[in-house]
Amino acid sequence: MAVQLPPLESLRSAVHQDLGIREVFLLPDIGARKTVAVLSTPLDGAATHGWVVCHSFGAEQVFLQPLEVAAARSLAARGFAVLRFHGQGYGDSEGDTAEISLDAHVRDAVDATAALASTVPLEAIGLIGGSLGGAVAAVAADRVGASSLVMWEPVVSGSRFIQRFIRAGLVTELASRGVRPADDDPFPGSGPDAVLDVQGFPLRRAVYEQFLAFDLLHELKAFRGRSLVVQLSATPRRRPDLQRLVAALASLGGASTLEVVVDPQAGLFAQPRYRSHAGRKEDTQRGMSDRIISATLAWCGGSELGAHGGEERRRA
Amino acid sequence: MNEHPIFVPRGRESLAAVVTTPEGACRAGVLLLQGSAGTPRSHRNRLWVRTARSLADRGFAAIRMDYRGVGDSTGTYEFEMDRPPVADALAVTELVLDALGLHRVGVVGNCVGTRVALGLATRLPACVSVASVLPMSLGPVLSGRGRSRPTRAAFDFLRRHPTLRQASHRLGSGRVARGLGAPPRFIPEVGVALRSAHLLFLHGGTDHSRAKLARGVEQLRQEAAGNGHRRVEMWRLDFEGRTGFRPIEVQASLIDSVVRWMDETLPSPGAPGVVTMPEAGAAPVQGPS
Repeated sequence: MAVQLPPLESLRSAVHQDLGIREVFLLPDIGARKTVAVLSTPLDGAATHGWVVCHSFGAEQVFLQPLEVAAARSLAARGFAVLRFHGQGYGDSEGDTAEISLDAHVRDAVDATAALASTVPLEAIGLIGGSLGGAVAAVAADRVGASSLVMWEPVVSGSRFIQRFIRAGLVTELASRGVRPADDDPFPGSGPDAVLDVQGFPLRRAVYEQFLAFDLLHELKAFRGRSLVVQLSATPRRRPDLQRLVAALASLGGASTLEVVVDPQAGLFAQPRYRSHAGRKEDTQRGMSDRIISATLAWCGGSELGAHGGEERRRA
Repeated sequence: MNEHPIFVPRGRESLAAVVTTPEGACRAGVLLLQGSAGTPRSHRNRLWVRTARSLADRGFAAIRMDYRGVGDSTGTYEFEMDRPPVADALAVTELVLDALGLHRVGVVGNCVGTRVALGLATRLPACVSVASVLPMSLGPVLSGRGRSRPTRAAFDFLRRHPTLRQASHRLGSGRVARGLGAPPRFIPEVGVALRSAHLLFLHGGTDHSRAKLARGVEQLRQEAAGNGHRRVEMWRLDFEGRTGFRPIEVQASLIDSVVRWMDETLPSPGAPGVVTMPEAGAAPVQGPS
């Protein structure tokens, strides 16, 4: 029997009255191919400022999704238009996982910004992301001349990130199979297409080497918008690498703020968040997510981002 | 192949799903259900995305969904082993089947998603095929961790008394229990589902658990013999590690196995309903002779 599309097409959007927002699935071209994105907008009035949420790398894309979804909905409820999307090789995108690279992350973030701009008439667009998604948001913001930038515990050194990514996979293997981590080169082959199996994720050597060469401070050249860097840690002491990042952003001419969110779960950011307890799964990072979102919303309020739309809504 | 992301209304909440449909005629639906680790509809390493697209290539409409409070679904995340979200899965499936005018569906459950899949099979007459993906543990399909009430009580007692537990291990109580070779105690949904659906267990656990499952499959086959000759199969997949479906190669085998199973148990209208053993993908495992 032939497939009937209209009944499914009519379910493309949903109104979440409790949250005061509407969400619609989009199928934009990002990275020259189709993918799935979700646009969250306020129910009352038009947004004037938009955000593009950039997801992180590998399994972190899944682990950080609850934070990104909650943040997108909270921002939409405050009057912003927020676009979340799957980069090529992730989630519902058309691309293959083997195509994932650091460059592709940035390319897709730039394309997503254009997709948001072509979908919603906005005065300004910012980018937002956690872990590697924060670094990608920063590089894309730099390239598109975005008005604002929010980074949650961003990756500054690509080398440190990718070593930690591989180590986490090897530690899991060590725990479950007794396999010792390789001392030097973890890849099974020497060519650029050699693949390391990191918990089922195919990490190519060429991508690994991209990360080794990545330094966020060197990538920032022109961004002059407002930015917020959220540090997550167990103590309020400010990390030197993030202080350098804020200084670099300020030196380009923008106003940058470093906010420290102290949380005992900080070390588990971008890691699995659900744990079994008494026959049910519990979200162990919900409190930390709430604190991150509160810090983000407070900064948006303090920076008067989206205030124009908010004023219009109040008048309406 | 086309993909349709949708929000399915459920009271005040909305459940997100993606329906992958073939270009041409659609023979049946297949619902893909991941486990309870907060994994979204794409599943780990996009296993369900790839499975859905392979199924669409074979003429199926594949449904992937986010549980309540997960991915793009709204609501509070709640997934208890003893109260799996069967009603939510049922609502999504029925809506899609109605929208596409389909009358048959298969269900694939991974880990504790298997509990949802089997629960759905007991409540949805259109469900004629179930595949349970069990990479590590048989727990999701076993009642009371597969132990009888007295055995559970004995284990709980030993757990509270470490010295006795160590002594019991030294005496080889585990080996004795295994030697008895009793079939596992499945959750009731397994037997109920078997009345109307074919059952496949894609197993990746230890040799011990494989032998245990094989005994259970044999018992289920005997039940199925007087039950419309439903198929009960157990195929082996060589998973490694605890997360992410490793090695990478096993992901392709899993996808091949699911597609082959649905192909065989949900044949195109007019095609012979004959079922063959798999030639690729997972290795078939026979029950004990």
